[in-house]
Amino acid sequence: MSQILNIFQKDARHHWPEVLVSWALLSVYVWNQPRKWANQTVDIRLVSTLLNMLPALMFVAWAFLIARLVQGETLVGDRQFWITRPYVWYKLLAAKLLVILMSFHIPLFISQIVLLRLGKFPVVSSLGSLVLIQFMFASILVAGALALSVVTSGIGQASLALLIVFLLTLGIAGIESLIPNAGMVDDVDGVQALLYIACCVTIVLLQYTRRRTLLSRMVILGTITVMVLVLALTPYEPILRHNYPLATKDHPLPAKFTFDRTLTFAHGERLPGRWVEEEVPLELPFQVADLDDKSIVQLQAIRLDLELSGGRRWTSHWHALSNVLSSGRTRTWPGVSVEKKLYDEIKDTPVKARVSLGMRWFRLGAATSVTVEGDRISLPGNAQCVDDMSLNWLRCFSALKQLKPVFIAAQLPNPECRVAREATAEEPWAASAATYSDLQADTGPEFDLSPVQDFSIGLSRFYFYEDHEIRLPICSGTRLLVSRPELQYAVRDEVDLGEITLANYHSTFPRKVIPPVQRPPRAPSDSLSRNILPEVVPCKTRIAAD
Amino acid sequence: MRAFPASCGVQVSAGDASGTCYSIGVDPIQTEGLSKRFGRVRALEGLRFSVPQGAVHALVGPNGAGKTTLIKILMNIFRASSGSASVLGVDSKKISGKAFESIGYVSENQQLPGWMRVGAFLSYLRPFYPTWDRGLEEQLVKHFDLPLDRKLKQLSRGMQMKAALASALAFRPKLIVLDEPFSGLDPLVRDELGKALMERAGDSTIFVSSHDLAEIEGFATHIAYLDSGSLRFSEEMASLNARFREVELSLDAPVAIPKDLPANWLQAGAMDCVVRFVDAAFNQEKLEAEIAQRFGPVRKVEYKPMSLRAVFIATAKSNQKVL
Repeated sequence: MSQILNIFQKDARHHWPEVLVSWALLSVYVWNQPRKWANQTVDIRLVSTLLNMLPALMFVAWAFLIARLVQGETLVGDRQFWITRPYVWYKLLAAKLLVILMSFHIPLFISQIVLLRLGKFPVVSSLGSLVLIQFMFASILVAGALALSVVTSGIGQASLALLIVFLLTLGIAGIESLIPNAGMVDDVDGVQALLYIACCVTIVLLQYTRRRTLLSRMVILGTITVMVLVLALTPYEPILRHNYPLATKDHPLPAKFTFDRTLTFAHGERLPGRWVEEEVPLELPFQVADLDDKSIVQLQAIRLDLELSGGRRWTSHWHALSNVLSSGRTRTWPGVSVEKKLYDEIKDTPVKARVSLGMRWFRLGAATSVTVEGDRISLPGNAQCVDDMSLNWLRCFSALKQLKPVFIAAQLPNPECRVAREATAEEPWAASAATYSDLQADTGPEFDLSPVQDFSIGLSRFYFYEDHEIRLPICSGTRLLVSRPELQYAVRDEVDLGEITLANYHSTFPRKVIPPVQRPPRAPSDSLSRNILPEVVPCKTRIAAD
Repeated sequence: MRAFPASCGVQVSAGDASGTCYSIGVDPIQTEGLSKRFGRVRALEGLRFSVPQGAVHALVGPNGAGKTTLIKILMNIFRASSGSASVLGVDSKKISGKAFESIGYVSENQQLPGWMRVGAFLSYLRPFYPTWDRGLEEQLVKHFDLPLDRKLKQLSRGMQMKAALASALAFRPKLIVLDEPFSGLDPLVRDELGKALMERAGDSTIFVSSHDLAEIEGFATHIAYLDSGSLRFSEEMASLNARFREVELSLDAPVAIPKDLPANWLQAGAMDCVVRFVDAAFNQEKLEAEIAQRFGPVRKVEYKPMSLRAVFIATAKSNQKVL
């Protein structure tokens, strides 16, 4: 223990400027957070820019501190005086970790407690989660910075290594984008994260026990190679088919999806540059039926298969979707992309098409009714929200994690809200539910500097052919039904589209669906957006936050 | 030259005609078949030698001979490619942590924590060593005239070396290993360092590599000569001094150097009626007989004792093992 304290004292004396800088940045961050919550800005542009860059600066300062600390007794090379002194490796490592604990983890932990108190959230019940957040920082930031520091002998080398790792990460992301179906299987991300942590821990231990720098660097390269191999060799298609099995008697489809051949996009001039050059986006109109009022369906994946002339086949492979369907919805427009070269070749030729839709079915739990009063609202899960009328959403704050999974439906029309009443009278779509959903699983506290999660809830409605979406203002007095969706199962639907002409499903710009919907006298978005102007808002809303 | 302690039980190893004091199993440093390769380069080849208890053992050899590599293997900084080495009875591959409580190591190019003041540096190291002697530390500081309040990086090379040496001596290590401690230092500093080592000799075993043969000659009890990764000889200084002679023959008529000279005759050359060579295994009776056999009657023979520098040069220039 005395050796640990001896090294700790030496490091504390040597690295106090770096520690002080990191503490100063953390203090400014804690000071600035409540100002951000209240939308207070600094008029001086430079200061404002620096405040926006604060989290990045803090990460740089911490990484710099860790690198300097470790490289005080550098593990690379054979000329360091300390390697022939009676240092015990685990005591040296423990001393370094003690400095990191005292200069990084504990100050961050304290600052998070302060932020929770400033946000008026309970502290004692959050302590366990705050400790968990510290573990996340240790696993991601500290482990990474330690790993780079133990295989480099100075800040220059460490920066170069960081740059190389950054470029390799970009390279891996580039490879991922080239591999069909990659990015659709979350398990791969989990494996990559485990590989990252295992690699960091291995090389830190390897360096402290053996100082085998070449071997450690090889371990890093090996890990990156394994990551790329995992990415390249994962059998995505079978995994996706397993993750989204075909419907069975026990696990039927939660809704009926029918391709609507009556709707197409108008053929006409399209403005250039509206889509990515290499790919042409298509939107396929589907009718949705049999969705009961306690169900939510989340379309997560789509795959389009085409049968071309000469027996050729083409597949889009799986692409991610995020269409959420709840009671009252009758249509959805899942999107998929086709290579431009192929599109240009066959766009006006009828081709046989088949669509696979991967979806998850949720059942809604008991709903909690919450009424918006003034511009503030408390949601279940201890989320405190303020009506941000400039953006037509509720700006919410919660401790440690965002409100999820959640489904919120507004009971409309709100008779106290004049615009909603007008809309009801004039526009047939206005009576449909306005909803918000976040169907991500609750995975515990977020990996974030601030324990106060700042997120938005916007209530949307779909109109026309439900291919347009608008976020509604939330008037005081509106009742919100907040439910917790429970995942039932995932399932796949395969829909034979018959022969289609791709050009019919490539959106025009401006968007024009045939046959056109009879537009109301005022564009819906216009009538609703006026609602945000105080002089025409009769309901008791006030402009936000104090 | 310092006399080697008589208590050292002399055990002559096979093939070692020098009378080197080997006491297998207790010698502070022992190597057996030690080899080291860096890629295709052979830095050390089958090294077998030992440093006896209480010796001041000098390791000499030209640049690139493998001296630093050997020391770094002993200190577990490098790993041997094959063979084994033990330091204070511990396999050198396991030398780490507490094992260094008994070893004082100083190297010419050691990176010291330049940001530390000399006093803080010594204070910092103190708790690492249970045997740290504050009195000796103060003596060394005084002897070396170390400025305690100066940062190490602000010191001259010589002063840095003194600080490093003070930190390596103050805990009275059983073994002191020095890699080129005199390199690049002025004569005054060399003298001071040499004296400090002399004072420690006897209490500690000292293993020192150096180019500075004059300094080494002053205090080494043993000497090993390493060339191209191979050990040419390793023996007591007294034995070495007795073994090497510069021989000068004055003949009646000019003579060509015969081709079948004994292996221990180094650097043989003739000029007019004078033949000169270095005998690396001097035995007057035997030498006179061999001279008579090769050159016949000789007008005059002179046997001159050689300095370590002369031995070093003669051995370096010859390309044969003279152990």
